[in-house]
Amino acid sequence: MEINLVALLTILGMGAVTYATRISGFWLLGRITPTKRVSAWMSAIPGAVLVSLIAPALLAAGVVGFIAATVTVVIAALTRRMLPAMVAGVAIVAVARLLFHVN
Amino acid sequence: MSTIVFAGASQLVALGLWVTPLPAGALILTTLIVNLRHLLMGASLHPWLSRLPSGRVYASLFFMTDESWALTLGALNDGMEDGAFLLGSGLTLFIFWGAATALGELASGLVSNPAQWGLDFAFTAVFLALLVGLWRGKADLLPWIVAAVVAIAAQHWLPGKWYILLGGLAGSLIGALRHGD
Repeated sequence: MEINLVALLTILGMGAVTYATRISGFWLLGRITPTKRVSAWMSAIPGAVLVSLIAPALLAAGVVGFIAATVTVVIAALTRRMLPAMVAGVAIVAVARLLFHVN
Repeated sequence: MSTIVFAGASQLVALGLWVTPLPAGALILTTLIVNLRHLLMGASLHPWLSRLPSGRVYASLFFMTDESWALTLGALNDGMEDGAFLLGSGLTLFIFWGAATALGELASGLVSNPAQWGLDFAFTAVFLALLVGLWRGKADLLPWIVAAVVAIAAQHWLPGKWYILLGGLAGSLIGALRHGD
């Protein structure tokens, strides 16, 4: 990528707007006192955002992804630890691809 | 770009638009839109971050990504009181992100398909495990189904990362209606 002044300024601009999105949510909540309903909304955001991150990827991962996801969830629920759950999920996907050449 | 913007999806989208002469306005606007989902993430961390000195919070938020946000949320949900986790996990990602970009430029082509090792599933698995920790009971079911359906639809019909923002908004609003009653 050629670095010139316009490119540098563009990248700085992209950095500035990205930083703005990162701080605005926090900043806004410091300015207002959330009502009960807004608090309920805020507390529902993390789960909804996580589900949104996962759902399309899971759908694209097909049958293998579904099996790996089920095992991941079961292990996470039983152990309450993230690492074994993740390793199991990744291992299932890797082994399935190695053996069956499927996605 | 990896160190100044530090937001993978928007960087990849930007590379697609990177032509001569440079469409600076379009690049910056697209970056803004792709990263709007950070608004929801930053807001959701407010209860914990507001206990820290604001200078430290605004420095930490520079390093907030989908991944470090999710990890921080998991740690806080497990009862950890320390909002500085966001800085730690974000900084770690930042260092690897920068180093891997430099390494990738040197060694592009050497590394074969990471999907062969199932590594593309790693963050899906982490997010799933975090989601298990967030489960509060049956009241979560409908908001999460709505979030999943909206996210899948948005990912299918819209470009970029709209699906995270739209799914997150739809699911959390349903959740607000139910929990607020």
